[in-house]
Amino acid sequence: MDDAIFEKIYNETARPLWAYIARVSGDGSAADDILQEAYLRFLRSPPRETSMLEARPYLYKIATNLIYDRFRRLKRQGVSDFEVSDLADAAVAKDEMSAEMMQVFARLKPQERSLLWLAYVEGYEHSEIAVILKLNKLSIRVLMFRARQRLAKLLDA
Amino acid sequence: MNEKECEFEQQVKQLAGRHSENTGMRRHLAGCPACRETAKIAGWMHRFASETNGPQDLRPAGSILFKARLIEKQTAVRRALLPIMWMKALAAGLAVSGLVILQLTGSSAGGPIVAASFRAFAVIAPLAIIAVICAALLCVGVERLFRDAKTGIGPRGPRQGNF
Repeated sequence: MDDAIFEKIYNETARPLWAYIARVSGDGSAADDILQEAYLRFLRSPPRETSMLEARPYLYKIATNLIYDRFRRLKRQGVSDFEVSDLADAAVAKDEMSAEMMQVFARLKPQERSLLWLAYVEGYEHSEIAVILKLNKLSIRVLMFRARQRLAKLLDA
Repeated sequence: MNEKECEFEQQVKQLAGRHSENTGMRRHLAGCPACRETAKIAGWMHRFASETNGPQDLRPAGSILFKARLIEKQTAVRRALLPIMWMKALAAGLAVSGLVILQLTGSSAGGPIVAASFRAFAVIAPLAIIAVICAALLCVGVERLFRDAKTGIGPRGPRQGNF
């Protein structure tokens, strides 16, 4: 891949991708390593087309796999998803309110966090989310509904 | 909660996220529970995204490119070393099996020259095997050294020039 093309992709995607990784993984310090590894894998096996349209969801797909691998590794060590969230880097939260929002978000399952972030923050369609999360397109609607339901319940609590 | 999707859900998602609901949308939200839920979640998600800090120290693209190239070179070296390691292992195996065969067939087969050669070889062969094993361990050590650099394990100094 051409260096200039990679730099363009990196400069446009690095910050939002870091935000996605930090929020879904619940760990800002781990997000740095995951972000770097995601781009290294991207360079090792780039998508067929290096346009932003292809590169962006491909990067999110790699990052999601790395986040889930990390959760599986921590689970094998006996750390639950919620405990991981409690270890979240305080520097990621601007103030107390955002720390509370992070705690609410962290109570969701990793897949629910991914679904909601990709749909509502990144603005991806269900078909694109299905590709990123390697899920059946038909099941995204149901999973999204359940994720929304859980978040709404947590917000009302 | 309403599982049914509304045809305006995507628009509601975008507008609610940007907090730019217009009169038409507000009228729609008043009559559509699905979109009301979507607007609530979208608004919260966008507030959540904006309320948290970004990365404190983002690596420049050049450093990622540099590391990727370094890993590529290390992989190439490892691949180049593999046949050598296999040949060394094969040579060691042949040497040992040759010794065993000579031992089993007896030194009398082939006459006194073979017997003398075998005796000399029997002295040198263990040293040769040790040398081969040491060479193989050295190759493994070098490969592990490169592998550690690839996975980033090691002292994390300052981000800049951390290679």
